[in-house]
Amino acid sequence: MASLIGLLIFIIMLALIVGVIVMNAYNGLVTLRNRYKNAYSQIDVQLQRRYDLIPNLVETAKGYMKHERETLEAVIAARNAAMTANSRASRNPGDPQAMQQLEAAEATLTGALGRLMVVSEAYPDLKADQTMTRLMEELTSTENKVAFARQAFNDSVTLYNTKREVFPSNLIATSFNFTAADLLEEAAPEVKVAPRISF
Amino acid sequence: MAMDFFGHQDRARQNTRKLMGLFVASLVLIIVCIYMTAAIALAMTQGAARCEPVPQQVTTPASPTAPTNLVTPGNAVAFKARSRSRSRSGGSRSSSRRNRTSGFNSDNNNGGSSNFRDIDSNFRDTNGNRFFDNSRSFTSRRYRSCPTGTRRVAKAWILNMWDPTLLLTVAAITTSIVGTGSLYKTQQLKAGGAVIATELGGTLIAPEDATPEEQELLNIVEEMAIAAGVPIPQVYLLDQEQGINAFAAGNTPSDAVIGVTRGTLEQLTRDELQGVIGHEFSHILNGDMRLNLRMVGLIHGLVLIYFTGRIVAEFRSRDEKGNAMLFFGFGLIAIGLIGAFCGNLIRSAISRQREFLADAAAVQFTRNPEGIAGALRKIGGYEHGTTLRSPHAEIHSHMLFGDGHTTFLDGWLASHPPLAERIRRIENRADLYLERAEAAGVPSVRPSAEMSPGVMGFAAGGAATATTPKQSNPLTWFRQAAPDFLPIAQSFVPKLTPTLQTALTQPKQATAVVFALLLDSTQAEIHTKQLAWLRHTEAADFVEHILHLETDLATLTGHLRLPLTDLAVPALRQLPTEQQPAFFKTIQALAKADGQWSISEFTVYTLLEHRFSATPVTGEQTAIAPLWNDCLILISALARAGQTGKDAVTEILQHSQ
Repeated sequence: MASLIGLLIFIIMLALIVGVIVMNAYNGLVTLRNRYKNAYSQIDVQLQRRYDLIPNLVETAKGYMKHERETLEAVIAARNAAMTANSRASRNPGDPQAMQQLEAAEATLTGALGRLMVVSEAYPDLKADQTMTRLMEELTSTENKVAFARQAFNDSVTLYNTKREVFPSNLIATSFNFTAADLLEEAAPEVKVAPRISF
Repeated sequence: MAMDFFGHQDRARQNTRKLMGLFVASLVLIIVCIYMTAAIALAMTQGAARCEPVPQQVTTPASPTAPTNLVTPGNAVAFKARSRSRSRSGGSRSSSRRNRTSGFNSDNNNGGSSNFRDIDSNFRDTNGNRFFDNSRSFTSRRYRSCPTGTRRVAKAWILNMWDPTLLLTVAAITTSIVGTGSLYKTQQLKAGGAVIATELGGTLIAPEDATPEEQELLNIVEEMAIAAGVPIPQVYLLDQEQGINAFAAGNTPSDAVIGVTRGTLEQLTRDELQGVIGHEFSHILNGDMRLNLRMVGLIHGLVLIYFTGRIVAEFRSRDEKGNAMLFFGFGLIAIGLIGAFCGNLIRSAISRQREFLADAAAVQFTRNPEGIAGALRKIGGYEHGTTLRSPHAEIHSHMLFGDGHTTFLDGWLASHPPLAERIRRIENRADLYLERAEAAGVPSVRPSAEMSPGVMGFAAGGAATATTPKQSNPLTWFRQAAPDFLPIAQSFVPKLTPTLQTALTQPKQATAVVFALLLDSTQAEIHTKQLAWLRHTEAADFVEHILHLETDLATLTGHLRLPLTDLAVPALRQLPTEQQPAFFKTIQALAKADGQWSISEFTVYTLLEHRFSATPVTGEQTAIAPLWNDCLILISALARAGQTGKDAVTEILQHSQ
């Protein structure tokens, strides 16, 4: 009788331990999955913010750079193109072609901005302008944010995938259908060597 | 080579887990210790009851159904009974107390055995029968005599070793005391991040009217929030603080704030600031403030054990049980103190692991080891260090053992690892960089007091008392003031003529550069003298080459001479060993052509000699004595540079020697 009770207690303890392990693994997987999903939405938000900033920047620069119409127009055109590509990409995020177009448009935009910066070096008044300084800082920050959002996405995807594959959470992952997540593609080389924007 | 930030973080987390395990184990150990003390103390109060002279009548194990007036060894009976049931034990104790008061006789005060025996016999007479049932297994044991108190206690203790009821009671009481203490302390310290930041003298930065600098800070915080994947915290600026430091405060990611000193904002570049903020975000993300708070609470609970011990010891009864209570009280005091001390050691160790974790996370978030490493370097070289001047920093500092840290404890109780070690891990370039970091003046800044437990600083954030610089050694300062010249020299390379640039890459040509440097172009007489010597030792076309280089050098300003010498060293080192003496001989000859050493000649010569010496002077110099001669030379050089009168200098030198 006593041994039966002992056995029962043992089984209950075992079940409890297993239950806790399962719960931890499951909760961990859900947390990580939500984290990477949130990270993805951040990328889009920051890209959008960048598009919003650029017209302001160009407006401010216009006042000083009367002779650089072409450069300014190129920036605006690139910005519009990137925006269209972005909206297309965010409609179907899985489409690799749309993503590729977005990458290309972003690269063009970055290039155009870089040219604008180089040209603006010749206008000390512009560099001294407070609004311009502020916008530049905003733009730098937003570009950083885009990069960080991508990086955070990739980091959290890596964490999630690792968690998904290691024991014992891999057992939970397969039985509760946690699918593997894909990393964001490496940015195009033009984007990677984005010109350093600074005054 | 990039830092393996994920690996570093994993290691730090593992170490934290181990230390947490240690902490829990020490809590269990404390309960066990208290239990043992309690058992011994109880045995002391009751020791008499189980110690008695040889029983008058020895009986063999009696049947439980015959509870007659058998005189059994009362010690076992009474003791076993007490341990089996609390109520009975209470009864027995109260009865013994009753006996004590009634049957008081002469030599009671020292707890004499006669007295105890007296109690015991009384006790047995009244309770012996009742307990007999329980004592079957003990009836065969006999205790002849109890010559010493110690032995008596020891015996009782061994008997009393395993007493689940007592253990449970002790565990419950200890847990509740520690729990109450920690709950109280935690509640007391558990101000939201905003409260702590305000108390430390911070003001909230509002995005609407932020200066450009502050706006940059806000942007960086937003960037790092994205990188870390946590909500954007509020940012406080500690406007009066010139030290480089930052902190994260608050218990959950949602109520966390980040505080940054004015010094941080002014001294650090954008990248470095980003590293610092990334570090703080790791504290927020990993819940380090909460962890720290809990541990501080638990340690406070252990301190409460100490206070309980004092109360027990002070309010002990005046009878012979007082000894036992005194013993128990002192036991609690010792356990509480040792426990709190060990708890603090473990907490500090955990804190240091969390700093490593945060550094690695900062690299993960920024993907830029240079940023945070640069910030740490700047702290090392910066006069204000990490000091917080706010008087509230003192209030918020969790004093451990006052200010009296010994050097031994300093490292063990430091909440932050030494700067050099942190830099080394970030840069992942082993010893080379450790040395560099030290040479660049990265002392291990340590606090004499720590920040409030709800706050995770970027670097050890001491209160104002931490300002006293630890470098009383002038040589340490000196080393800090003399950074590596090579990087500076390298920045001059583009200014050099192409001929010079190529000359600096080949050993033989490099010697030509040095010779050209030493040629005196102002005095024609000496110049010819020098050339004559050169023609004597070197080939003719080589001398022509030197002259050519000399004209190139003429375009350079004077202060480039030393950097140029430094630049030539890598090539010069490749000179065959047998040519080196001749090289130095030529230098000496050129320098002495005018009969004396000028300062520039001397520096060039000494520099080269130093660079060529087989055992470069590196490492810690702790005393000035071995460097005495060098110091003399330096002082005399400075004196000479200051004045023209030769006699005065000679006089000074003669005095000093």
